[in-house]
Amino acid sequence: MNLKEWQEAFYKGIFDPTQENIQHACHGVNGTENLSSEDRLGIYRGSILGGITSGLTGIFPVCEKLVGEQYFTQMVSGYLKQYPSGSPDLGNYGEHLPAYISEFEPAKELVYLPDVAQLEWLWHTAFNATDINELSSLPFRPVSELAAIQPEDQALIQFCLNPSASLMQSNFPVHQIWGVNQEDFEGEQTVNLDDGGVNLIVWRSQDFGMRIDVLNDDELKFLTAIQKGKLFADIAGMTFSLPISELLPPYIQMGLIAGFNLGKQ
Amino acid sequence: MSSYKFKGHEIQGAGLGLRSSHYQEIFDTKPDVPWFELLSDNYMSDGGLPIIRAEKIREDYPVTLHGVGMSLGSTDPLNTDYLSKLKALTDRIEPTYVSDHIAWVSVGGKYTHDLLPLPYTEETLHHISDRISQVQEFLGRKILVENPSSYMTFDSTDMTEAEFIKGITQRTDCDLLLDINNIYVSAVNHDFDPYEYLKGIPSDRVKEIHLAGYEKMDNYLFDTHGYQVHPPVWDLYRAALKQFGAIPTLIEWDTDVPSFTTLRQEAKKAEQQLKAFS
Amino acid sequence: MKDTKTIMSTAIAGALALGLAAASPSALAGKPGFEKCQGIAKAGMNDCGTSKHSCAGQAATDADAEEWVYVPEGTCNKIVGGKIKGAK
Repeated sequence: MNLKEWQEAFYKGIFDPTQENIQHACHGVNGTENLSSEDRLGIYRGSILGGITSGLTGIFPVCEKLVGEQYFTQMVSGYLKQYPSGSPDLGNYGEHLPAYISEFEPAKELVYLPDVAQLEWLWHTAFNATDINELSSLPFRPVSELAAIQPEDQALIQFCLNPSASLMQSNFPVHQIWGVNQEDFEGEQTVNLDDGGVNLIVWRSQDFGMRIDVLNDDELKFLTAIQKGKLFADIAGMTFSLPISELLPPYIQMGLIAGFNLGKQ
Repeated sequence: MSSYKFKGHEIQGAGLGLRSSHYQEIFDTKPDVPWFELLSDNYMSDGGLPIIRAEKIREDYPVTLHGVGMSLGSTDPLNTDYLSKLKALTDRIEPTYVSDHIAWVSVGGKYTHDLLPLPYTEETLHHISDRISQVQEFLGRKILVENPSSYMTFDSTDMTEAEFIKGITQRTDCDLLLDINNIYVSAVNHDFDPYEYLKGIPSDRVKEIHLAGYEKMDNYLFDTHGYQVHPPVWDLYRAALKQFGAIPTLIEWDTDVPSFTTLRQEAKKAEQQLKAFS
Repeated sequence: MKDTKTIMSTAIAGALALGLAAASPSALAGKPGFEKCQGIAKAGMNDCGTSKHSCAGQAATDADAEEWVYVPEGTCNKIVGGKIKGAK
């Protein structure tokens, strides 16, 4: 076995520890009276799984709190095997956990759990998203340049959401579940699923404030059209309960719409 | 004349590993700490608060960057995306040193996020030395490499860890970050003499020392970086200072991070030892 | 037929009049949102999203899923209702 083959065998022995894989991983590993080579692999296994799990706990603290530490650890152990981490940054790991949980048989009763995980992932990515400053190369022009756009070109404007912003819809009041499970929450922790679903936008403001805002159906429709890159002329042709002159300005003012491009006719 | 944004690149004395639970206290009290070490990997996201905080720390202190993601011992190609981000971070933070470990982390593009052991053979020595040279070329600077704690040795190993490290320094012009706790942990786990180990380390290459606390398990020592530095590690540290001189020393505490006061007390102990050898 | 040109120019004039990217998102019509991690370090919140990596090991936890009985033991017992909803 050369170094590459052994490293591959070691990886399998950690993440898919069948008897055969463990034996392979222990090929050429010295055992002692006190610690067999399998024991030594086990030390690394505990360390690796523990490290990744604690990384996931940092990203999905509400999910962990909802089901308890042990359940969470067991639940993610299958995830680690099925979805390997492809980045040296542990902070990039966990994107597919919501999908994994939704397929995870023992958690079927916890119908809201995949959406809570999704909300936590969006929070995490918003926290680490690109800044809007001179150091970032942003794929849009700043809103300050809107004043320079001639009236005849306004139809071609494609507004751009803040790079941190993500929209999500849930059939459950996941924002409440998230809220009552925050460290600093005081008060009644009970959440009634019969309160129904919610539309949310998760984003980070210019002063690094992290926000989860509840959107009504109209606001979601408006922001979704923007997210999809629709031309301003098309959006102006859509019907909302509020005039666009009332919908648009606050989003620009608060930085949720952070820039624009000029599209083609 | 200098094009540096920040002043203060020289480090000496006993620094501290920066942990996020201590940011506020550091910003509020501006404690007299000779330097902070930042885990590079925690400051590589596209944006957000982490890098802002790192820059704020850097305004007041020299910093070193210590990483866990280079995967120097891996048989995968070097991850140039990671190295590019690291380079951008070094441009922004201007660290005194950049370091990573003599270990592998990934295989087949899959990351374990842990520092895994290598068989100390000629093959591995060539392999890791080549990669260290490539990294140094990419970053345009020397790096420091650190000895990891280990729980595993191999039949094929035909040299000691100290010989392996010496070999690396002969093949590359990298410097060394010697973790005294890790030497002790591995010495107990693999039954070698840690004092002999020290003697095999080329003295002129040691630029930084790490100290941390291990956990005593039934049949081995486990390196959680979750305790105060244990007495036998202090003994070994004194021997290291005697051999290498008053090398800048860092207290690392990762698991169950204590109060900032407790962390500083640990650094004070190292400071006292350093004074005796400077 | 809507006059989209007027709709657009009015909306943009409105945006420019309000001022751009004001620092405070709470300017938005007093909408209640959840806010965390504001500023450099809001008390008790300064750990948000950081400290992912370390060079420390983790003591082994038994993650042998085969024999494990999944009984959640967290705050999920505080979530009530929704019996008829089932999987989405």
